[in-house]
Amino acid sequence: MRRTWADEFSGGSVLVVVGGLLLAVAGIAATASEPVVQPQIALAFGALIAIGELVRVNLPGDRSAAPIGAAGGLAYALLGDFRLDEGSVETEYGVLQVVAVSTIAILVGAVPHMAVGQPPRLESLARRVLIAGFAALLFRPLYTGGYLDGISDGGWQLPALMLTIVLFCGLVDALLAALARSGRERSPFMAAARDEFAALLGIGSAIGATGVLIALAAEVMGYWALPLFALPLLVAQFSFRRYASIRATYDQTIQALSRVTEVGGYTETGHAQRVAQLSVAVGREMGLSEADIKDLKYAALMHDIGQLSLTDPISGGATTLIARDEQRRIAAYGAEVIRQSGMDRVAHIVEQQTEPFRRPGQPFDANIPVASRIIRVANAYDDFAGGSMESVQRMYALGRLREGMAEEYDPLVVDIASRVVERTMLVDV
Amino acid sequence: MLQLRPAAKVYLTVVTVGALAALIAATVQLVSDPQPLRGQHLRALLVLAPIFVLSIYLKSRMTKQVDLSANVPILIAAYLIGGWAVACLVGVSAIVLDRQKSISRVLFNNAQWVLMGLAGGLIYGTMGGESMQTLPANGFSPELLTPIVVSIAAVIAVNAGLMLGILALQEQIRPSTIWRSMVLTSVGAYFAYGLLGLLMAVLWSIGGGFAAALVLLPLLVARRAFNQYAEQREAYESTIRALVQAVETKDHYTRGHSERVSRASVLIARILDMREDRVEALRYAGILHDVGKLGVPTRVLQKTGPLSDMEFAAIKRHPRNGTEMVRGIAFLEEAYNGIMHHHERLDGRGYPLGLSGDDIPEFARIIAVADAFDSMTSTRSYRGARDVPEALTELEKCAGTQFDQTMVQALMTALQRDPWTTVAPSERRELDIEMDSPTFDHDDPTANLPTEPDAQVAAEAAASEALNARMLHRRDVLRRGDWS
Repeated sequence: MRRTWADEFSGGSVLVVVGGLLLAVAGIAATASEPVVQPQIALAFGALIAIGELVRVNLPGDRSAAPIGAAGGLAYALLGDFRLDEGSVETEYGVLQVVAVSTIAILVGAVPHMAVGQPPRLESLARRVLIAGFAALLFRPLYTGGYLDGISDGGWQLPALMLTIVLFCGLVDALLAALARSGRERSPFMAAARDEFAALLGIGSAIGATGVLIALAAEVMGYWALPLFALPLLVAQFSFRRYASIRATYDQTIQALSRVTEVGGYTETGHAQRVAQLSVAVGREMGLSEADIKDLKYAALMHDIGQLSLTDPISGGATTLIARDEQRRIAAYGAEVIRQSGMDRVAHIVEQQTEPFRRPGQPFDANIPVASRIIRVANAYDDFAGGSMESVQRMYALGRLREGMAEEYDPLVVDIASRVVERTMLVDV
Repeated sequence: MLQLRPAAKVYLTVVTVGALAALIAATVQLVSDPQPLRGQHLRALLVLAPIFVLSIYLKSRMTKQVDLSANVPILIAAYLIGGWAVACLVGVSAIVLDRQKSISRVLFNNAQWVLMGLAGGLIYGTMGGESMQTLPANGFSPELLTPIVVSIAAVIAVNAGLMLGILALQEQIRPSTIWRSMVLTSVGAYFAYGLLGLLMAVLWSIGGGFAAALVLLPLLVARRAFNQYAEQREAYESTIRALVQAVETKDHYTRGHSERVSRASVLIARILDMREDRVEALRYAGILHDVGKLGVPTRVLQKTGPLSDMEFAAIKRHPRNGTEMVRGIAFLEEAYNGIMHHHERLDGRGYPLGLSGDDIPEFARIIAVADAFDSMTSTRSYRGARDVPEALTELEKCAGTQFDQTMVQALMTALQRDPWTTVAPSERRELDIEMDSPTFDHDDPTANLPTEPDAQVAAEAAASEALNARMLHRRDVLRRGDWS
């Protein structure tokens, strides 16, 4: 999806970006007014953060992350004793210096990305600054205040304390990310938070652990700790990148192959794409989880694949206008094709898309997946409206959907779909 | 139960006895350590052994992938912390949870761990490597790196040597094959393991076992991501296959064609020693080379008589249509070219652009040969399937004018190594939903020709599957580094 300035600054994103900005300015201003404490250590961690930023990756689910940069920021916040050639020294810098070093390093690392026209999201940068500041706020006063002297040599207490702090940071980060995401995708906050917590368990735990490990190991290894302990995370990052890239290719492939029915003359150009876009927008507003959204999207893209079994194309590919038995047969064939590819849930969604919301005199059938109900509505809308941008045509289509609300279409889905359509009336869906 | 060959039996006995001796020596050594040291070593053993056992368990849960094993790092950490004796005893600990099918495998693998720990620990100790327990006092000095690196090399050598023995004696795999596909490919991974072991040992000295275990977290996360990647990849492939198959249902005769063309293309690419990512792209290009046919009216595709100019023009559009369709997928540029130009001829009389000679992209030249080969060896409405030698002779005849001589030669070489089976394993699940068969003209007498008889299809599928299973087993053994 294309990113626009409107997305960047919708709802929660603004809060996060402004918060990060304020903290960054405060940090830099405070640090600039007096000499930097232990500048060499600051430089080393700054370099690690900047390099981490430079090798940032795109993770599945439209998440961009700089794991090594994030771990470096955490480590700098959590750093206790540091081993130099002459022996261990205590680190003496404060919270605001952590913020300043993180901010500057992040910006330095982001420059090359901007130069090639792929600037990282402001919101994700702001979150990083906020989290580094938060970790420092929890740890540095304890450490520089001497409260940790009793537990800092050996034993499990110090690592446990650091882990607890990192865990907190992870939770806060997930909440901030959810805030921004729910604004961007217009999904309910709770749904976004659930997705972000799930994502946290993956690379997030590796980031947190690495941050703690670097900070701990620096006590005996000094500068060596930075590159050596960043390496396992680099491996993890590499695995994630490969995963994300195959996910992306998969996505592209399904998008491309969803056009087979168009090329074969069975459906109108762009129909599958439009149904998928509308379905996903509706699904997000309904608070479907990330995994469900993915299935919904694939099912929507391939909902007409069953038409390949037809002798003669239906007029305009509009399945809404043919007999229900015929619709079912087409859907069943499509589901069979999809089932062969191992996507059972997607197949089920496609199979059930022909079922009416409720039959006369009967309660509504809860067994029909919500995704099928969404696709049913989105498909009908597109059959009525086509790709038309004309508001008359769109209003006509919405009107037809409302007429069908009693039996054919899920009223809630129709409601949300109407909202989405009306919102996008003037712009490209 | 596994039937051991006599030589392997002797070998296994020697290895097991060696490991037993090492274990006895290790126990004696541990007991005779002076007190503060003995306590430290016991503590290391008590903490590391459970982690070691646990990672064996994790490993056995997911077998079929290139494995990021957590065992080697723990073993290395064990001798860096407590010396060879601790490493030997940690190495044998996994035997309590080992659920291999045969006792000989259990014995061999655990003996192997013990001997690896012994070798690494002894070398590290003799080269003056200090226990990592002294780190907080002395700090980390880069001078430790030499004994660390050499001891890791010793661990690799023992692992490779022992595997070489058992695979050669029992599984009869040639040592050169093992060397190439196991030892050379795993050296890099081993040094990464060594690094992890070092990190664990360092953390041990600061925060004990709790901190040391944390090092495994990024590794576990990496491994999960890797598994997700592998799953996704499989899903991806089967999706492409299923969709292509759905497209092929438009034409009974082309069923399975795309996949076979893909397979033959890969065979050619292997002979040409093509880089792995290019082979991958070629494979997809092969599968997708005909998707553009979807835009050609079925009646034209099925027509047996001569085509009119209009009809031929419609057919000629399919490479271009297909390329347009897959444009959105991020393949290597070459894959698009392969699809676009697979009907070009060397003499320039092909379509869509009439390219000639080396102007035709390599992928297209390969797919053209594979395409023609499969077409000749499958049944068509106007003739039965030709056999493989006949098809190859035909290809040779057309080499130089229609096909690239190199590719034809490569296909012949490849088919001498691996005999061609016309049914790929993945085709066994046919769509069992009844189709209307609108695509057949009722006036066309040939339209209802049966394809291959079912019995033959089943036999081919079984043979092909057996071959596949054998190859998979070998590949797995070679990839894993232990014998399970």
